[in-house]
Amino acid sequence: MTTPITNHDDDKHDGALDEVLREQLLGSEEPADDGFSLRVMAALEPKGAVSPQQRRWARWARRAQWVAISAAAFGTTALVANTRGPLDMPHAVAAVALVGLLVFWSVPSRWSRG
Amino acid sequence: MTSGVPAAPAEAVVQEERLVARAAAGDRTAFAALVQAHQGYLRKLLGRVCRGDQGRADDLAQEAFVRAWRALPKFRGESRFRTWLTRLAYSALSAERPALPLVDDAPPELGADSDFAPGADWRIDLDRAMAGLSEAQRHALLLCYGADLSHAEAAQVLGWPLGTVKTQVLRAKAKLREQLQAWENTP
Repeated sequence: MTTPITNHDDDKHDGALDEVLREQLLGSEEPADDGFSLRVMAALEPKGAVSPQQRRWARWARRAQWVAISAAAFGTTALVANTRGPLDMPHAVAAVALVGLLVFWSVPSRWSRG
Repeated sequence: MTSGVPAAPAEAVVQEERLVARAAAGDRTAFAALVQAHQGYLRKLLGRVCRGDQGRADDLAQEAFVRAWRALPKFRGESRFRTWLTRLAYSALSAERPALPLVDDAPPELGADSDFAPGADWRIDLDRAMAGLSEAQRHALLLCYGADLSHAEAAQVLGWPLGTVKTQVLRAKAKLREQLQAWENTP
């Protein structure tokens, strides 16, 4: 931050007018705060607040998550329902993977949000 | 003007720099301290800019502080915080009235002598005389005398070249002197 530069008029003749201008324009009282600072602080948005664009993205991400959960649930159901007798290895792996994804997406914890 | 901008004590400058840095990092308490320190100055200046309409001046001042809060992380400290804040207030003013402030191209009226001696009613006379100035001249005077900014700082605030600010101040003072002398000589 720089210190103020003092380069006001260098004309020496304007002393009286300068004095009067200063007195008139600078001399009057500053308005009292009267709650102004509080109003300003109330009008500030919090730093790091979520922007509308971020909110839009989050909404789409939530929808995509629900679609993925539903797809995994349908997949698991279809897999288990269409199998007669004991599951063979590929089906069992697919079912476990789908159930795993289902749990991962639907459990609301930190690790499921990335 | 023979006297310059009064230099703020070094300690106060350092303290303000600390507050600005903390506020830029999101510290609301630090920003509240900055608001309290500068609100009086800014509202008074804007009150004059808005020709006494203090309600509008307060709205503009509030807008300037809100803009400052948003833009503080980008503030590099190349000018005083007060100058930067005044610039933000003028940006808010320009957004409201894009035509302001204009630089007028009228030829300088520098013919008046400088034997101005204020009479008893000089306050009223000066107010009347200032009402006759162009917008550009009024803004230049208000910033250089009413906000105690240097010409360079006023140029920054208005977005004008330094020479333009100096010319506008000279023209304004010549016009004021002429006007005041004319009234003084009127029987």
